[in-house]
Amino acid sequence: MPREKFQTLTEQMFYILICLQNECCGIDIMEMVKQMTGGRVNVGPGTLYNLLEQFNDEQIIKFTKTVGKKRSYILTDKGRQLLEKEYNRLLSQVTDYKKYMKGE
Amino acid sequence: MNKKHTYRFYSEYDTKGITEFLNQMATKGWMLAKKSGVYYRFVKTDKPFVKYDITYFADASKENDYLPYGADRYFEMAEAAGWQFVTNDNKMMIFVSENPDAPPLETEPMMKVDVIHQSFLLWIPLYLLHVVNGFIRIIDRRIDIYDILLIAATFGFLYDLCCYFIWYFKAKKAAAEGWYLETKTPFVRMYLMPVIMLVMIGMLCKILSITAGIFFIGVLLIYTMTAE
Repeated sequence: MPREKFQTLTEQMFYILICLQNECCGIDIMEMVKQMTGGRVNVGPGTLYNLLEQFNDEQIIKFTKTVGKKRSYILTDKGRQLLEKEYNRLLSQVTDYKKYMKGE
Repeated sequence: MNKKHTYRFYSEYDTKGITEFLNQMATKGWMLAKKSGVYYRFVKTDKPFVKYDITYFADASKENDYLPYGADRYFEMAEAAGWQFVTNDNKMMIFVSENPDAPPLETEPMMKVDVIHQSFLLWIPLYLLHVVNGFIRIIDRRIDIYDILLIAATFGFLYDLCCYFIWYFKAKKAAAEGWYLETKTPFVRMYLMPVIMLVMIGMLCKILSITAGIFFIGVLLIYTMTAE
C-alpha cells in the first residue's frame, strides 16, 4: 500500500482512528462509529478489516491482544499525529468556509 | 425439486451483475448453495428476505478451499454486521444477509476497487495465455474450422480484459472523487461465450460421435454439480 494513501483520511478512516484512541476490536469499532455519527457513517466489515490490516502495516495502529477470534488494536503516536494533521486540515477548511462564505 | 442448477457467464469482477442475479433468484425463493465458475447451484428456501454481497480474498486458493489467514476474523466481523458466509468460488467470497439494513461489505469506494483489482490481477496471465495462443495460430496460418471458434473465444477474452481495464481506470478515478463505479459484464462475454461453448460442444459431438459427446457433457455436468 503506497504511503501517500493515508496523507488525507476519508471519513471512515477518520472515525476508525478516533475509536482506536482506546483499545478495541473491529466489531466494537463498527458499533462505535455508527453511534458516534448517529448512523450517518457506516463502516462495512470488509472495509474495516482491510483498513485495520493496512493501518497496522503502516504502524498507524498497533495490535494489542487476541481474545478468541477478536483482535484488538490501539492508536500509535504516528496514528495520533495523522489524526491531528487531518483535524487541522478539516479545521482550516471550516475556517476558510467561514471566512469566504460567511464573511466572518 | 428442491435444487436448481444454472449457468451464467458473468465476468469474475462483475460483483453487481452477480449479486443482482442472486438477489433476483432469492426473490423467487432460491438460495445459493454453490458457485463454481459459470455454474450456480440453488436450494429452495422459505426465508422472506435475503440479499447478497461479494468480496474477494486475493490470497484464497481453490485447490483445497483454503481460506487465507485472517478469514475467520473477517467472517466474524461480517457476522456482527449481519452477513453470513455462503460459499467461495476461488477468490470470490459470497455472503448473504437476512437483514435489509446490513451495510455493504465494502463501504469505501477505493478499497472496493483495490480488492477487486488485486484479485483480478491473478486472472490476467490466464487471459493473456488465451490471447497469445489465439494470435500465434492466426500468424502461423494454422487455422482450421475448429480454431475459428477458439479464436472467437480469444477475442472474447481480449475484449473482456479491455473492458475490465476501462472499468478499472474509470473506477479508480471515480473512487478518488468519492463514489463507486458499478461493474458490468461485457455483452460479448455474457451472451456470445455461451453460444461459442455450445457450438464447440456440438462440434465435439460431430467429431467424436454423439455417444462420446453426451458422455463428455455428462462428465462435465456431474463434475460441476458435485463440485464442493
